[in-house]
Amino acid sequence: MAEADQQQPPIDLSKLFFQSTTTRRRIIASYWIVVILAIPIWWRITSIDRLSLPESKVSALDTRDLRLPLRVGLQSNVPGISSNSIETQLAHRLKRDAESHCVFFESAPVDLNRQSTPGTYDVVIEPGAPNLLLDGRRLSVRSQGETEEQVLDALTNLVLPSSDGMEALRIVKYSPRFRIAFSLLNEDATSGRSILSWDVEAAIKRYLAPALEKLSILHNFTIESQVQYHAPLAFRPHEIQIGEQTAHSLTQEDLTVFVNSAEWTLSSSVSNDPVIHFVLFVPSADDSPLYILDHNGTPSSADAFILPQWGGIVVSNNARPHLKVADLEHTFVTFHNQLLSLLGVPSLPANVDYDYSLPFTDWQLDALVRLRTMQNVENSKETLRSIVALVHQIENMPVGQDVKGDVQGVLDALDLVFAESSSSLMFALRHSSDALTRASRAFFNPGMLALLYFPAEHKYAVYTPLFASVAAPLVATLAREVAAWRKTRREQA
Amino acid sequence: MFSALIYSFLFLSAHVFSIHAQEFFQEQLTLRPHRDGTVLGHFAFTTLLKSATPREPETIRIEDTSQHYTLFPLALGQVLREYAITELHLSLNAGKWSYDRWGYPEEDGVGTGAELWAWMAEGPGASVDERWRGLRSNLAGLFCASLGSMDEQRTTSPSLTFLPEGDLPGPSTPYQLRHGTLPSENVCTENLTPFLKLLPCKSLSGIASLLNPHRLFDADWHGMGIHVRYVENAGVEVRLTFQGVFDPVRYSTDGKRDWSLHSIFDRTIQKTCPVARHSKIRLISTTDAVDVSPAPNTFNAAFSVYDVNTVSKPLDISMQWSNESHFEYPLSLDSPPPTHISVRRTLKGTEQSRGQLAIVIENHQDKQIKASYLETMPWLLQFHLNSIQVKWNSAPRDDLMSIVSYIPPVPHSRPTLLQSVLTLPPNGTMDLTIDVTKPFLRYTEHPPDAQRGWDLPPAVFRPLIIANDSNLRRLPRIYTPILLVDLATPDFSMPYNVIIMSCTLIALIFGSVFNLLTRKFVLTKIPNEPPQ
Amino acid sequence: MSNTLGMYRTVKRLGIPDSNIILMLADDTACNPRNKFPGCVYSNAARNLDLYGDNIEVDYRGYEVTVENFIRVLTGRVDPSVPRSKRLLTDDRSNIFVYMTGHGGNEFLKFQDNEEISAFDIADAFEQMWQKRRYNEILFMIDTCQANGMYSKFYSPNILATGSSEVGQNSYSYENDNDIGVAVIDSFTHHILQFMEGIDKTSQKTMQDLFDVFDPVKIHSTPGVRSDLFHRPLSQTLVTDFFGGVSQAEVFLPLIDTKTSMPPNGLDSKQPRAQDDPQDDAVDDDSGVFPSIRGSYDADLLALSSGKISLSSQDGMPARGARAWTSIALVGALVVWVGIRTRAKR
Repeated sequence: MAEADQQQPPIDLSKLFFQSTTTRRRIIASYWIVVILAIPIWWRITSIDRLSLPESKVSALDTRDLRLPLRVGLQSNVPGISSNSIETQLAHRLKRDAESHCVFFESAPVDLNRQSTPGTYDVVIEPGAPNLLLDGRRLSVRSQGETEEQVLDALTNLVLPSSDGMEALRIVKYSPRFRIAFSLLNEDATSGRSILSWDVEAAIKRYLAPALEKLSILHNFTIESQVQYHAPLAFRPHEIQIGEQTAHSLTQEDLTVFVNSAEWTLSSSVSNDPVIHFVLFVPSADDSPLYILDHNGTPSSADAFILPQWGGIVVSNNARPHLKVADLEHTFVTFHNQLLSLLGVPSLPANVDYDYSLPFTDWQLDALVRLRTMQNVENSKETLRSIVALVHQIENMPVGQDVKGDVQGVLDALDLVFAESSSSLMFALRHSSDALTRASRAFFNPGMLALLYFPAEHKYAVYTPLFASVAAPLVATLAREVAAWRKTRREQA
Repeated sequence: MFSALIYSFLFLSAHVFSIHAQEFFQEQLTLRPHRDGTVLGHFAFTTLLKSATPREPETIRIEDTSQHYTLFPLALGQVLREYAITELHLSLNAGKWSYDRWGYPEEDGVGTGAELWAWMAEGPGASVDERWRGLRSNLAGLFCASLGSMDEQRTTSPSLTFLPEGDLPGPSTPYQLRHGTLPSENVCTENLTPFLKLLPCKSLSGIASLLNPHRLFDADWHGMGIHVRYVENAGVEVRLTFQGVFDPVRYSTDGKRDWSLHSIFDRTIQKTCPVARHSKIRLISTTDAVDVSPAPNTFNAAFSVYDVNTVSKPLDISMQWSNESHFEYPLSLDSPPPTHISVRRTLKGTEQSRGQLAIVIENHQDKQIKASYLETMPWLLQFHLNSIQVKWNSAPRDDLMSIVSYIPPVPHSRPTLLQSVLTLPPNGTMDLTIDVTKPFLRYTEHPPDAQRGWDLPPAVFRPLIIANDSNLRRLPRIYTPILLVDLATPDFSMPYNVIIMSCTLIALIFGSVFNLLTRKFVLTKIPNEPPQ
Repeated sequence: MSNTLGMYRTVKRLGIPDSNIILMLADDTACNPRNKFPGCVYSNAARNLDLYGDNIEVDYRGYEVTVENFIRVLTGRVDPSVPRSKRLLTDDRSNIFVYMTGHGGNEFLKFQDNEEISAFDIADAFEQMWQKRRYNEILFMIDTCQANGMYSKFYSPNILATGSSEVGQNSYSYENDNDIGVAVIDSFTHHILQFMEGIDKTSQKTMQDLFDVFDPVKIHSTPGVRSDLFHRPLSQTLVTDFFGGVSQAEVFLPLIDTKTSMPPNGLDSKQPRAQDDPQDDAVDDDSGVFPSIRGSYDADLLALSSGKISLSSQDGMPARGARAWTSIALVGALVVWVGIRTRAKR
């Protein structure tokens, strides 16, 4: 038996299917294939969703400039004034400013019967007593002699109003919607001098509605008003003597800190539209009359001031329990002017007259629309550039479909602006406003919040316990198998 | 869009808040001494916007009319219009209202923490839930409260208990209720500041000048509330309230319960609010012999009234128990108790996974009382409805609980809503128990700081008694104190432990299997064969 | 907590309205039942200045104070339903003041007990703000242990940063209030507030004057200033540029022609004249962290922001505090991490 046992050939292990070299190599290979196939999936599921933005289009925007047409038709019925020469000079002057104002000059035939179109103007020079009168988009010049310079200056100022730095700081930023908040603030209604109510609604309708309606091309306004009976100042006005009388005064520094936001509940909470405030302030009996000092330190007749980008304030030394519409005329006319200046309606050249029953002229409106369109386009471009730059710079910032869609929307809207700019100023404005809104929405998309910084070392710390211990046998076996294979080959050779 | 803008600029259609809409403001302070030496101070500031109606939800997508207010708070008006809210109640309370010692409060809503409920008309444009979300976040911004976290996990619609207090316009319009509670909300000066700014006279004149945050927040119990309702034929009414239970015995140096406005609020009334139509202080009479100064303008058996607009200033009302050398706390509670029923609610069980909610309700009346019972429980506590047991004076009774309506919770998203009507026979005690499970939370759902547990909102009872004319009369809501539940809390270094542990296991298993599959087995001869 | 509230009070006193301040407070210190003085938070042990006051608005409190919310406020990427008072509404004319305090370490600051914001996060947030022109200038101030690491990663222009202590140093509290049992204010902040008390809305003191006050001996740590990103000389930068809400006003002369009921051409009759240079409002963002070494109250983070030119807005946010002892362990662990990381990089 023992013999027989010994005779039995030993089992050839390499013949067992699971011990054959091929099978083993296949097993190892399949492991490695799984690992290699898994890498892209792993990469995909651990990476942040970053859709590619149309970057080339964004950078192509740099070369596209907005050009808004100014079509001016000139007609001179005065001998000695040549419309051609005015036209040439005007074209020359405008060319100088065209770059910064995004306009180009076109001469157009005069047609006094055509419908008034933004961007198209007629200038008629006729003999008569010197006078410049605006009527719609027409400028009638009456002249008897040499007025070329004067007409040129007026025209240049009308189509391209110059703005100083102060003005730029004062004007509120463009927004498609504004809330206009009127507040009647009594410093202390218990002191005996106070205005308890006002006919604000009728006053707005009477004094501000025309202007607001005209501006509604640019902005949508929401109006609200409130009355407060305790609105203390954060400081005590200085006492001064005017003749026999004791009065109180506000210095220029006082004006800058006049608004006591801690005690005055002015901000509106419900929407995120920018608010323009108009305040009628009634000083208490202790502080009245209250005058504003000019910079020489003497009381001035001014009773109103503007806080740039914030709103306007009128100080009323004339308290009575109820203000009727007629009593509010002075206040609201001031508010009206403050509103125009805050919204950036340019001023007219000094010697130009217009129909005073209108809040302001179409020339001013067009100039404002051109300015706002230009700013909106610039801001939208700028925002797009920032988005692209940031996405490059911050690697873990996600870019979702809605961001991409908005960016594309901005590009489309800008295309429309460029396309419409030569035909319709109003459409250009509308699309530029759309582009601006979408650009900010894309930038402020809550999904774009970069993930919190998670250092690479932390990632290794999380992955190492798994990957290191799994990878070790995989690599070791592979190495051993490769060595064995090379050895066999060498032996075979 | 732009052509629409021109027309959307509405001046003309402002008939709702037109200049003819009159606004009235009145303020009232109610002072009520309690037997335990405390004094309830209840401020109510009511502004009525005459003949105004709530915004209709149909109009929510179009531009709203301009809002012009003189007395009505603009900030609140904006919120109400923006989300077309018909009725709104917000209360921010701190402390536990003790019904047995203090009786019914002047304002119903005394549940600890924040409670917000609103009735809204349904309509196209924006869904009720969207408006509810907007309302929450706007009120959160307005009152500096964390109402934004009163999300779907805390919102229910318990329309049996929270009936509208005013009228709902439009007989055919469907209305919906949304109700949410945040029992762990803190109440502090930052909530009072915006509250005061809504008042026409702020806290500078009139009764509101007594609202001194340092004293108010030192009270045994305090709570502020904003209540908006629409009253047919009157208009939209906003009532801002502040209630506090002050303890003059604690403030006094000689242990007496004498108090004055100055001793409670550290302020007196110096000036009247010029726009307050009525400004009254109501002093509820006590049965004790007390000296009250100054003399009230009018008084009757129940209370005395001071008209702040006419009384001489500064006004400092005081009440003195002159024949009492020092105050002795009453040893027993009032008999009969000041409320119709008393309720105690406890969470029993020490386990981290299960427990039992026990409610004890006592009827102090000689007649039967029905009471609606409401639990709005976050999914942190899940009821086993089959385990409800009702006992009356220790004997099981199945017939006392009726009309049970139950909306089960959905973990991580929806709370439980359990409403029912309990019948309480005269003079006795009901024991109600429900078994509950405490679920596990996700890692990220745990609060980020060292915490003491989760506050659970109060249960709300609304007793109905049969009045003399055999009609049902609704009594004020009764809130139970809040509960604290301790859920299983992991060791927060756990994720890293788990990572290491599971990685080790995976590596071990993988390694063994892999080795078995790829190992090369060889035969070796064992040299020393055993002898045959 | 009193660090943040002290800053809040200062910026508010200097004229920045609550609507422009985002205050984040992680703790309900004032009305916590354990506070012996309800509704009060005092600036020092003598308790002569109540920082909580009668008029405070906290925008983010409790569990709302998170790293995510803080970054969202800075970058403006907030959910559309977030109310106005919780947003930082600034533009390219706004100066922002960010103040943070709490438990910190090398290049991080703890929020609550379970997360921290790293220097990289803030640097990236500032860069995003810069790209969107959400600020003109930023003053970043931080009072934590190893505070100066926090601003070392900034790379956006026009940021002036200062911190209470160098990497490796602790920042210490000024004094303890034994009645309440906590440290009430940190040295660094205390000395800044002392300086600020001498400043009013129209003060001409410069940032250089402020930084000259820093005395490592008194503060018990070495404050740092980083001005390489800032393009104005410090000696010409007014403190009120960041802490004040100074705006300029234009006086309207009365209208000459009011005969017509319709407004006349008012733009001609209006003569704006402003005297002072346009000044900027400051925006402050502070998040405060108490030094972890002393078991002071919890950490707070306050962020204040204010717009420029027009009245600025500030927003403050308090950070929620971490229980001191837990945080010590966490801070320790993190410091080790950070240490390893920095070493590995070099």
